[in-house]
Amino acid sequence: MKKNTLFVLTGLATALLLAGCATGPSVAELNALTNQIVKSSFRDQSHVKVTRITETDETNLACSEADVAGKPLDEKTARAIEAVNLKAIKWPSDGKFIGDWKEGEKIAQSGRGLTWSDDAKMANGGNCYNCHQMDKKEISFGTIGPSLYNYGKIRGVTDPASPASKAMVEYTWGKIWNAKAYNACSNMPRAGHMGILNETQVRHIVGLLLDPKSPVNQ
Amino acid sequence: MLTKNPGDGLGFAAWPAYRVSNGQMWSMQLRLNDCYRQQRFPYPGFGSDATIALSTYLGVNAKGAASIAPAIKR
Repeated sequence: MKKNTLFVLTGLATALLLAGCATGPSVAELNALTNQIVKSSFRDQSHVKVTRITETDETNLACSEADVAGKPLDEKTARAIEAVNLKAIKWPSDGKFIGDWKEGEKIAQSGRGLTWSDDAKMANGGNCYNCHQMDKKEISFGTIGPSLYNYGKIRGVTDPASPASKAMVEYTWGKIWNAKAYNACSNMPRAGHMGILNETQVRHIVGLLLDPKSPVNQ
Repeated sequence: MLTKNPGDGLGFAAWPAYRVSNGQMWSMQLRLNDCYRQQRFPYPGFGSDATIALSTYLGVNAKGAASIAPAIKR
């Protein structure tokens, strides 16, 4: 099986490379070759399926290809991707945007879930501290994303329930649910959209960021 | 940075190594397996084309660097 695959791949690779000899293999040819190698190199394990990496959506595809090409998406495509993702946002089913910041902090601290060694029955974490500062007391935070310390305070959200705060509350929910709705190729995982976090968890994180009593806003 | 030579005893040149986190001696294959796992990938086969290609790429980029295998890694 191993030798066969190698032979087929070598043959395929050679054929593809020869076909594009003058200018090198095209993006389409390389993508096809990559898919072949991926399918032969990876297998399902526990709840993690190979389809997780072979069946990514158009958003991920477009952003990955832009990344490989070294050129950012053009304006038109970027706006279109943002619109599609904005439309896909699931707003809170009960209209409640703000949860318990204490639970939010636990979710932000937890990076568990979605690896093949994780128990699929356990709740996923948000892994927020991997990229963001939030509570000043937590000194172990990443700087991939902007600091969210004083997130609500800076934005003048003194009462998340007031009409004046509505836009910011909704933006915060939306950003956590689907970051690419506001920035087409954002590195931030689409926590709600991709099923990493559920509605309740997102609600708690919004609380962590916007509740005036949250340590984030002290 | 995967495309540059990290230097003597670093990256590719530090494997195989005793990995303290696992209390075991790990090969590059096993290290790559864990790398993919934490990225939430499906399971890369041992001796698969993807892992062989990737470690070859790392090895070629590290050409000239001194190996410190067997090393100790966290």
